[in-house]
Amino acid sequence: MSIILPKELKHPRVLLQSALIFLPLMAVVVLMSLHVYRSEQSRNMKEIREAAQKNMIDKQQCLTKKIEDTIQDLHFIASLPEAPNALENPRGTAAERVNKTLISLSNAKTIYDQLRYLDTSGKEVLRINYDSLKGAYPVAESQLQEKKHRYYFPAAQQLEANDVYISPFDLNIEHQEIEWPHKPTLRFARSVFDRYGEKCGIAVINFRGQLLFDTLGLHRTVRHEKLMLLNDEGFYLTGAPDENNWGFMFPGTEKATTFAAHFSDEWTRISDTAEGQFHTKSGLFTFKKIYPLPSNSSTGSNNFYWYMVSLVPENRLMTIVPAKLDYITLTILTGLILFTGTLALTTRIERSRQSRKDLEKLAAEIQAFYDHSPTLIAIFSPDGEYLMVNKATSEFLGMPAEEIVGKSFADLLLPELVKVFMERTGKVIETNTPITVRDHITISNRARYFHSVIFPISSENSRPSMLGASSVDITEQILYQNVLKENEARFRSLFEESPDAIFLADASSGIITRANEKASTLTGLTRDELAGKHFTSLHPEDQQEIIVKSFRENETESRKSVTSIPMESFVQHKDGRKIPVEIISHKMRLDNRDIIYSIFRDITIRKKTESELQEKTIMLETVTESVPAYIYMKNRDLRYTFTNRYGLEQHDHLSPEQLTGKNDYDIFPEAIANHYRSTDKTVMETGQPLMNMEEEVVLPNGTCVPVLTNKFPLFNKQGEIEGVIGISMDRSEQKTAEERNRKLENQLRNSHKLETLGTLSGGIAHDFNNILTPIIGFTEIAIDTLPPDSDTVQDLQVVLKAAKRAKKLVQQILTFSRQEPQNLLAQQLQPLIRESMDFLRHSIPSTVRTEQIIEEFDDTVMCDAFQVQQVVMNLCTNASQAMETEPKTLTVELGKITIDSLMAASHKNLKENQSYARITVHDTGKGMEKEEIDRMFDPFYTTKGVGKGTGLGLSVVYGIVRGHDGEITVESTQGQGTSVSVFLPLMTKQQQQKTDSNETDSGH
Amino acid sequence: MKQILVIDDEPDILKLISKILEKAGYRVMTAENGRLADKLFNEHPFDLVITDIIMPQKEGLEIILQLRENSPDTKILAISGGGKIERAGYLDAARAIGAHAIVKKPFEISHLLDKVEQLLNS
Repeated sequence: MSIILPKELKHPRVLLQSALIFLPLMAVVVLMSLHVYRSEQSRNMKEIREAAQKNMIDKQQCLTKKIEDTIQDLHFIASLPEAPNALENPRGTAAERVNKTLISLSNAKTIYDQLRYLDTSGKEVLRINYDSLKGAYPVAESQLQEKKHRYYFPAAQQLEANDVYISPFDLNIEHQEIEWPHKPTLRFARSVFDRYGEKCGIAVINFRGQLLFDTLGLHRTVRHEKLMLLNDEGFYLTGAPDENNWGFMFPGTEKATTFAAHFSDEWTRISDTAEGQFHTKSGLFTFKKIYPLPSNSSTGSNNFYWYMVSLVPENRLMTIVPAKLDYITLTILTGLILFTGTLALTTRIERSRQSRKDLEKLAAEIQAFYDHSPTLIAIFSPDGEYLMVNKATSEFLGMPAEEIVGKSFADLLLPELVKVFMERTGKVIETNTPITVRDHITISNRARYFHSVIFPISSENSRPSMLGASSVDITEQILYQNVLKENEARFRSLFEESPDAIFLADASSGIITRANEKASTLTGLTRDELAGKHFTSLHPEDQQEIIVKSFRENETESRKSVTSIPMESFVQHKDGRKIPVEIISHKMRLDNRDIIYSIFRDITIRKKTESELQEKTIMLETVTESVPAYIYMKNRDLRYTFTNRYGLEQHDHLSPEQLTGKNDYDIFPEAIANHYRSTDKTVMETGQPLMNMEEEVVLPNGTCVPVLTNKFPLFNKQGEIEGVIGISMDRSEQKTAEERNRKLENQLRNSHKLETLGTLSGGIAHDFNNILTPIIGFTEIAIDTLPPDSDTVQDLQVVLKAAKRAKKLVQQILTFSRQEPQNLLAQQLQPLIRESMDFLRHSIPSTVRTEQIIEEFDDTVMCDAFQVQQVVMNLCTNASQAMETEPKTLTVELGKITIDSLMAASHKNLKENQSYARITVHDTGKGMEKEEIDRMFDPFYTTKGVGKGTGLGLSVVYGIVRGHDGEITVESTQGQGTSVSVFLPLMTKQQQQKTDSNETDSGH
Repeated sequence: MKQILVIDDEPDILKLISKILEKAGYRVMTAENGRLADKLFNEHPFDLVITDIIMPQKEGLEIILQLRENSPDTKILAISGGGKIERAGYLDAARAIGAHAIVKKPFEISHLLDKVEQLLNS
């Protein structure tokens, strides 16, 4: 819910006035509240003070009474007639009677712990103890104690006559120990005299101190009051805040257990004075010095006193005094009521002031309006005397208003007008209704037209006492209407003779009201047929909805601007043709109606040209954008005017927008730009095309694209050369393909050569073995048949050795030609390689540093372990021998590679998507010539010089690798070294499992 | 006395093997090709046939197949100087189709004798 404030409240003056009234009133309210609060507070405080004081007096009287009673009882005990006898003979009958008396007394009083007689030596003679459960009972003789060293004995001994001694208030001591639980005790003593007036002992009463404290606790009259009893040194007897009473009995704790320790300033004030009351930040203190002994009872009574102190703590006082919040709430409430009242009052005042002002303002405005109005306004009497005229009238009549007032029509107007005016006046008065007239007056040879209203002015429904006239000069309007008529005629001719079809339609209904001749031609309908049709029916059915929609939008739009945006549509001709038109519509107001004025221009020819042009453009664009060539045009200044988008995507080429307007020097390196420029110039100068130039296009990213360029001169309509057209066909694909083919061919040739050689050497090997068999066999037989020490045996041994070397060589040839059976097993390559490397360490020179880079992967292949090791060792040996100068580093790398299409295409023995283990052996030797690489696997090809190698090592490697369905590749850089990579097909998990199970089946 | 037939197209090898075996106390007959061997099979029983694999006119593998069928008790030892059929070598192929032992050429005499002895005593 929102509160609606009167609008006057927003006026700053209202707020100011409200504040002026409200603030003093509020101040008075606040002061009054404060006063009431203060007096309430002090009254409460006074009550507390008085109650505390009264309580103190009550307690003191109570205390004094107890003590006085006890003294009475002491005197009673001491004066018992049989007491001296009892003291003399504790077992006698006197003593028995005394005992009975004391037991009665003790049971009656219940407040005496002990009633005793001590003999003159300080020994207990008789003792009655009181126990709240057992009552009073005599203490056995054996339990009686020696008390001459207790302070009260000597003190009592010294007293004269009937003087009474009261011990300091302390805790009872039995058998030299403070009794537990603490028993606060007050001892009363006096001498006992025998009949001769001689001291024969002492009577002692032990008063139960706790009873005194209980008395103090009774009848509390003041809330939250705390009562304390202190001894003369300020030690707590009772009421200590931390319950540390009796501090003086416990040596070492004295300092912390005095009243002064808690309230030092307050103690100073209390200890100086007999009684009083004061208020500190700790609270309200009320105190009194208490002299427990009656002033006449003892000599030392003035020196023996206690302090009774009552404390109402400050935090408690706070709760007793009246609640501040109540007063604040009350004050705020009062303030709110006052404020609202004030606001209401000032709003009313402001409202009445406002309305008076409004009236004055209205009057002034009417006056101004009246004076500034171009209308001639005059008030006159029924007999034609001017009573009041406005400025316009006085100006029209050519004299000040003061002079006009008081004059009549006859004094100021032409005689014929006077007559007309008087007639009209008479008519108005007679009918008591206004009349409207139009006058045509010629003033200074100019025709003037006036439109006037003459109206009666009367307060009641009676005959009018005055008349008013208001005349407007409508000369301009009349003249303007004439011009309009002329315009209309002109417009009509424009309408009729327009080369465009024009329709007028009613804006609200959409019905065509008029159409020109051209409209009739456009639609094939007569003008009569057109009139009355809805404007949408001009269009084909599928266009009508669009037309209505755009018309609506236009209508909204035309409120802002006069002209509508031309739109294109079709007109449905009577003969079925759809004629394309451009429509411009205006909305205008004619004879109080909104009219739509639509011009339809037949754009059949334009459309046709446009679509032809568009087709041509699309065709050209399609051609230029789809040809794998850079197509460009340059103007006479050799700046680019057109470029296609070729190369944008693949090569990050510049876009047409970036190129247009630039010349070659802005884009290409100078050398290239020079070349382009010179060919461009040649074409422009000769007018002849330049064909099939092999060039390069240097792209912004640095790529060089090989192109085949044709350049043609560009002629304009007049046949003059206007620029150059260039088409640079991209040959990079072609070049790559050529390169790839060449490589592939080379490899094929190479591997084919090796295959042929393999087959050939395989055949030779077979024959060789057949030849070697009888050589070795017969030599062995011959050696066997000869005596072992003969020279012939020595010679035959040489034959045998040579034949065995030949056998080994044949073995190698067979391995290369892959005609040697293999022992194929699924196994990991890594251990094989490491083992080979360990083995090689002994045969490779120490100047060669070896490195192993072993990638971790599942490197299981189907291979002959011995052969794989042979491959690694052969390659490493070759590599270490290839390095002639230091640093010599031999690296063996094992990795995994999956063959992509590119790699598969260039190596016929590698299958696409198959994963291979790749063992690469790098050396840092001098590298190899291409010719060397091509021949390196050929059997018997060696670079090591005659007698140093068989030339079979690498062919054996080749044979083994091919025997494993693998491939071998060589990369070499002159001066940097050679890398030979061996690819062996990796086994998939399934293949491995299959092999495993096969092996298990066959019992391995 | 055990009777052995040796088939090889190399006369020197035939001569060598028969000399070794005769010396060792076997009765040896030789054939320079498969067709001659066929003839001998019909006339004599053999305890052991030693045959080369690659020979003109009739391949050793064919001889082995034939022997396995006609004379299953005869032991067969294949010898070869190399060459291979597809992946496996000729000797592997020979073993696969029924040769009881194989020996590669060129061989050491003791090796050949060991093999022969093993076959005839098994």
